[in-house]
Amino acid sequence: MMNAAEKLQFEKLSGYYGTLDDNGEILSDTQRSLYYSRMQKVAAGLDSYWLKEPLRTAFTHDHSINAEGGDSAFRYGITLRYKDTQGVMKGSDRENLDGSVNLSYRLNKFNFSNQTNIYHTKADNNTVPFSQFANANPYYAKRDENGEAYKVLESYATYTGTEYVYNPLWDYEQKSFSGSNQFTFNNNFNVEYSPVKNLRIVGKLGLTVNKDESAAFNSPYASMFTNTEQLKRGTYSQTNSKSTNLDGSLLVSYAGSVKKHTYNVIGGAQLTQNDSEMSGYMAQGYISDQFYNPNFSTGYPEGGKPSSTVSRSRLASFYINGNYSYADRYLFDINLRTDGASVYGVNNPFSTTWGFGVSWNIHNENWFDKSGVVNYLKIRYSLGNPGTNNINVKLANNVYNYYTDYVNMFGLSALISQWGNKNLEWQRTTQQNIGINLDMFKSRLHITADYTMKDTDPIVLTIDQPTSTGTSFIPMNIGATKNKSFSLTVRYDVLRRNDWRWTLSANMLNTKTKYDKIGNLLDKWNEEGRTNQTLVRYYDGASATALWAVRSAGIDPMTGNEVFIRKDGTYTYEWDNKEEVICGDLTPDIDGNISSTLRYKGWGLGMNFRYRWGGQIVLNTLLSKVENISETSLRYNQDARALHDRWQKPGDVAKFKRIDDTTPTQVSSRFIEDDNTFECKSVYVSYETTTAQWMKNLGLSSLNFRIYMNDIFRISTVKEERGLSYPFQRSISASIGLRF
Amino acid sequence: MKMKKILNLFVALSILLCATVSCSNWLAVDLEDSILEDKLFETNEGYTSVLNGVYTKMNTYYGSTLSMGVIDAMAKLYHMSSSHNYYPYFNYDFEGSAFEGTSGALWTGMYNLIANLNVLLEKCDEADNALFPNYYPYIKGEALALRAMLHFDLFRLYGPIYSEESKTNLTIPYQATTDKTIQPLLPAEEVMNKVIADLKAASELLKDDAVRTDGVLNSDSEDPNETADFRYRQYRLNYYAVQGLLARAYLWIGDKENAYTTAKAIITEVEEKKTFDWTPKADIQSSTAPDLIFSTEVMFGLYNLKRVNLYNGLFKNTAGYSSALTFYGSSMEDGYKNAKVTWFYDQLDDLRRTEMWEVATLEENTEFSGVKEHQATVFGKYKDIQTSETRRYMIPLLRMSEIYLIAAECTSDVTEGLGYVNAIREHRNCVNIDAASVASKDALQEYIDDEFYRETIGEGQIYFYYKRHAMTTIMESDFSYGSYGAYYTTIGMQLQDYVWPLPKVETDKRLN
Repeated sequence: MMNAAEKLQFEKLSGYYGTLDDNGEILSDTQRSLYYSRMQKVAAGLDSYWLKEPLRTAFTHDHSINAEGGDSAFRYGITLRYKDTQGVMKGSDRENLDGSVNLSYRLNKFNFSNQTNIYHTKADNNTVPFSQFANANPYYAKRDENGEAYKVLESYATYTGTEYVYNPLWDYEQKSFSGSNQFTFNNNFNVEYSPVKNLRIVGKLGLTVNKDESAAFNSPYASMFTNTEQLKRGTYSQTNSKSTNLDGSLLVSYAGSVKKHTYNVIGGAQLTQNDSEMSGYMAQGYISDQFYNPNFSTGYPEGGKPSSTVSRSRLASFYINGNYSYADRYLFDINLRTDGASVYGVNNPFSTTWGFGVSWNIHNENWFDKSGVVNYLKIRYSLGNPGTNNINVKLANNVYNYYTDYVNMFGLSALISQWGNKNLEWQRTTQQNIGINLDMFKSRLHITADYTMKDTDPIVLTIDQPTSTGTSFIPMNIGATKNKSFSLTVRYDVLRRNDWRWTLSANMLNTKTKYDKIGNLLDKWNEEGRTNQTLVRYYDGASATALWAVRSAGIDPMTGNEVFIRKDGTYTYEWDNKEEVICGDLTPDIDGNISSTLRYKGWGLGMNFRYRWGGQIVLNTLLSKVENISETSLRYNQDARALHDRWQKPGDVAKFKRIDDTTPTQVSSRFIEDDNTFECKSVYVSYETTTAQWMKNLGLSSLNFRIYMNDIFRISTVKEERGLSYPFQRSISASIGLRF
Repeated sequence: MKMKKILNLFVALSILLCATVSCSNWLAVDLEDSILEDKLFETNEGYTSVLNGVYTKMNTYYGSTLSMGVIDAMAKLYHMSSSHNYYPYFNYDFEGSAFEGTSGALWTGMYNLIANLNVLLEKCDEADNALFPNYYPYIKGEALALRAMLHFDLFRLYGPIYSEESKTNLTIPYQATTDKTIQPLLPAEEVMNKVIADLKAASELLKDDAVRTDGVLNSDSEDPNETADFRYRQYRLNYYAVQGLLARAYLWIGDKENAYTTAKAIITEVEEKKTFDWTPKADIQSSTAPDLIFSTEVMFGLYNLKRVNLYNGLFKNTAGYSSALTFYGSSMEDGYKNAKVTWFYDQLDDLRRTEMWEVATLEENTEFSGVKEHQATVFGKYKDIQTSETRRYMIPLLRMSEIYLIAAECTSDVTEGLGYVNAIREHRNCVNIDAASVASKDALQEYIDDEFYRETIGEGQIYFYYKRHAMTTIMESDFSYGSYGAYYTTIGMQLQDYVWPLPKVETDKRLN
């Protein structure tokens, strides 16, 4: 963010005060006096730092207590938890109170258990977004000499009326609020029955009820109502929602073994129903902010009405799984599953998936020497269609909504709100996986490697359309995708002696998704000469996560405008989306995690790192904060780079375009950068003991404590981009657990 | 004991689970927030509600854009400073974001309605459908007519000035299928052939329209069993309205012969049946509910409960100098040459002059120099009135006087033509034009032009009228002394300003 002097200079250079003469002086008299009146205060030392106003160092408490008991037939467990989370912005808090009771009872061949959970969450949200503080100009004073916040920081006339710059602090100090109360009740009842050995029948019945009440009050004194009629100032809105989830399932399993043959069969079914209701209303018109009760309002907003939505969905699934192994050497498994859902429509609500797997435990072969370098070796293969999904009925059908904007004497009005495609086929996915598990040096080194091929054919894509077709996009089947991924996990116990244990582990993932079988379709469309422009991006072998943009030759030092490179290599000042080419790929070549764990007696030290290599990223924040600054947003404070890194005069070699250009900037390759990152995500220290003598004196059976810190450092080719709606937070947390 | 109960419950539940062989039925849940196409068209009401959806949604596009707002600003009817909201349209700033936004939204919205109509049309002819046989001609006929009208209006905007040379120019797509494939841009002639074909098919279906036997039926039926579906025919594309659009379309392509025959047939029939009778002077001058839109003469209009919002935002003096559409002039006195009313009307007593206009003060907020006041002549055609009649909410889109003027323009008989012009003038409290002053067809045409402007101002037709005649000079919006003491009453027009470029939402997504 800019400071007061920088902001004033930026305003002047960006043309906010109109054109400048040869000496860099503002031409318009009124504008010049406005500039100097601001300048005077800044010269006198005014430089408000707004960002610190709403922030605080936040503390979070989390306490829980747990009791268990019972005998071999009857057992119980009770847990209570209280958590109070403060947000780093003042006025944003979250308070949780949870409780659960577990009961289980064993009787002959039956085993009953019941779990009841109750959650209560009370949340308060900050009423003024962080971005408003970030936007406030540093050359405004926050408070008057009595310490009262100004309501209006500055006012000036424009073509459409007088405009005011409001003080975010003023709104912050009003009695506005926004919060919610959430209550969840959840009960799961479980019955297990084993009439004969090896046969097990499990029935489950679950019920979850969730109620959420949220209310928001905007004080009549809030700045947003300045231009509103007196009797319409202040609003109160309330939303109540309730959802009920009913879930029943039945599972039958039979397991057994005969000599070296081991087998296991499981069949089951599950039915789920979800109901949800939401209703809300808004009242407006408060004389004072002493009472927010809607009874004190003057009524509904003009043309306002209560809102309500009701929805129900149902799911049903049936499945059967079987495993067989011979002498724990050859393992086979097979599964079949069919899922139905009401969202898939009436005609064909079910979709079926299957899978087949085989693996070989080589280390269990008689000829294998387990005491050698390799002590565990398993090879796996599986084939299935896990991602085969039905199409949401709304994609395959035109969906109508009732249109109520212009009511007339002819009754209902209905119009299509979402265009479907009747010819849409289901996405079908075939997945094959080959893997190996390997343990070496007496299990000190552990390696898992997997190679997976996933073909989806056809795929469903949302395609942009010229709007003369009635819609700007439509779901379509276009070709297929082929995904290939390779993953590797290595874990090594560096130190394993006495009380010391140090483990390093790392994993990596490489994945590529490419389009396939698109060729013919596009050729046909091209022949007809009216191909959709955006379809050009879909061709065989193209990466599904490629970034398309017009190539940029940078900023012309003479004019400060961006120079683009057309597909044929020629230069132009005109941005045209027809000239877009691939400028990168969001998917990195490899990414993964590295972690280290060191243990000594009860002490532990852990570190987690993440890395990413070979991918690109679109710098949206840079685009919107440094260049896409419209004429109206010149009034607000901006990223300091908008002043320092933009082109100002002929000869400047700048990264960003002309400082007085307030037209929108389109994405070009200038905003796509390599994203190679290595970062430390977390570090923790922990201690746990069950044996110390002093504990026994206190009647404790165990004690543990832990300190945890996130986002320690980051090394990257791009600067991390953070949004402005809520501040970024770095946290340290500590916990203590006692067991009696 | 309790355990046994639980056990029984469990067994019952298990049976329930197993018995769900008819699971598909259980999974059939209706959507609560929306309705699927197949479900909607299971009833006759589904058909009427989709048709009504198109009529009601047209208010979005025909209100401030194609009727009383943007399109009339483009005809330079109103005085406009460069800070006026509508100045980009007035100034034909086709590249600007204001114009691009309006054009894109209009194009997308109109074609969206056309796509809705195409689904409805397909459903009308599906085997074993739920549409009642007596509804069929109305629903299908009106849907076809709407499809033609929406395309025709898009064509009048984006198409060329129609001529022998331009009729092969590629213009707009004509969507007549529910298929979502991209349709080609068609030559002008082909688009108009399709418009005319749809209008003819609609006429054929609507030939037994109740409007031909029972009139406009502008109230609820006394028979409680009768619905409003076939009543209020002025708010539907009735038989005469379709014929009127047909006459308009013929004239657009210069087919004066057919335009004349069609217009003449309408005039003969409605005069005999008094379907769209002249609005009486007393009603126009009513103190409580003046009928300034001459509602009885409207062949087709929209019903818009929020019409007053359009009036408040576009015409009322409180809308402000930068928003209100006003005539230049601070006085309506006889002979006051610095006022547009003086040039726009030829007679002081013209009801369209006396009842619709008045001088008022408008405020302008200027950046850095406070509020400025301006005097202007404000337009009251759409002023809110207190009446229970539906005309309070009417936005006229086609009126009888246009049909008279089409007949006048297309007839080869100057006397007959003058008769049509004078018929209108008589009912607007103007004296007849003397036949002696109308020596030729060209002389008559000037009278036709003037009368057309006076009749349809605020209804979005004048820009198209200029376009059809490829006018290179039109009436000025500002009136001021020229350097030699003469008044500038006309202003030049560039012909390319009559043709809207296709919006980016279309051109960015297609290769041709």
